Amino acid sequence: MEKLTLDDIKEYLETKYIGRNIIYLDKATSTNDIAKEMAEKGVPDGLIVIAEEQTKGRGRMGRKWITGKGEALAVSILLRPDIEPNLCPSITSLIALSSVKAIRKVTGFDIMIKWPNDLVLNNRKLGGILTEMTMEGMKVKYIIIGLGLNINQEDFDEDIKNIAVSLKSFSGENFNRRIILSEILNFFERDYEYFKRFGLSYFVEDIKKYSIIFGKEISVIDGYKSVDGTVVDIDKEGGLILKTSDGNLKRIISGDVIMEGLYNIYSNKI
Amino acid sequence: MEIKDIKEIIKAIDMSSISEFEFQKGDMRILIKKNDEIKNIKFIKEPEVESTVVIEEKAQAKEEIKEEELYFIKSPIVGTFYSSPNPDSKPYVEVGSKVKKGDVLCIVEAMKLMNEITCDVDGEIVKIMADNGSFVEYGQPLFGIRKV
Repeated sequence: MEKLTLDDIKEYLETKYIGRNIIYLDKATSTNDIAKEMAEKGVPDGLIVIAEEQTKGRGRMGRKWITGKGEALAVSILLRPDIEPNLCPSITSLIALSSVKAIRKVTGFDIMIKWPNDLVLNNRKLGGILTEMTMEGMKVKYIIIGLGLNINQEDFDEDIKNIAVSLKSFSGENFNRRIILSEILNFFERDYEYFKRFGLSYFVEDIKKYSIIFGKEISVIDGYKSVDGTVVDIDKEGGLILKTSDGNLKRIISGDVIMEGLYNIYSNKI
Repeated sequence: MEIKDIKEIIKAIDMSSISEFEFQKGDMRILIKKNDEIKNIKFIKEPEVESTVVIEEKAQAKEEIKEEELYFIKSPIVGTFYSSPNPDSKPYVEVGSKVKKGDVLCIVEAMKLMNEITCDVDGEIVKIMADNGSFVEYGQPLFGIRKV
């Protein structure tokens, strides 16, 4: 199994600070938990935490994500941006875009974004992002981005077989995790620097281009509510603009997307 | 306005996520508050003839809390308010919960960014001003806390 310490990836890493401090663990509850602990201890911007196995890896609202040893990538990034809290939700869309560009560059595969935080390959889930923000009063104290990516898993458990994909299960090829991780960090640091100056608007055209739901009819389920419509736009903060059947436009910032032919969280079939 | 209209309003507000409703027309003022279980409807000035309407539910049981005494925790982002870490678990806090500085009170989520809202004072939760799953605005008060 190829390790992912700084020594292992530095030949591919072009960043100034993101990933220049790495905590690489064999096992952790979740990489976000460790990153949070470090953040509370005052560790600076750009720390990344990687774990080969997560016992409590989590998706949105406590959903579990199991990482197999050496086959996937589970990484958390600690950021301490000096920006308004209201801008922070856009960071999820930003890292989704940076990751798509990076993995496309390495693999050449048509990786897409399922709004706002999943990476899609062959209509199945390749990876997901969970961002957590901690405030101090009304100021951002720190942000932790958790990224989970399926890379060299040969196969998946029966219950997620139809909805999950790895780079290997799609292509039969093995991929070098060091290169993939480094490229994601390289793309993300560049994008993040622009984001802090110009906001997400600088990236919206690319986000639309790689969005698998753009122009499509979808439903968004948020708690007990559901909205149906056609995705007509993604706004400069990453919000989804749906045109409903009565012709009204509705802005969506929360919820899970359901689209025909694309995996969703409510079913284990496409 | 008749009693029947007022009842309609109460019903509509009861089923909505609105926690406070105020309406004033002429010499009549209606103030309806939800979460603290006080529903008051009264005329501020006596109407000229007949019906003085005073409907009070559970009002005598609870002392009315003066807003200026409370410390409010506000939402730092626009998003969806979640009272518990996931749909199957208990809320982080309820009315009457004792809280300490640093305790998590709720999550406000937008674009899959989970913002754990923590308490920055010690005290007791007196009011919860958003419903689970409801949309909250930037700066909207979420909790009223009586400091200790």
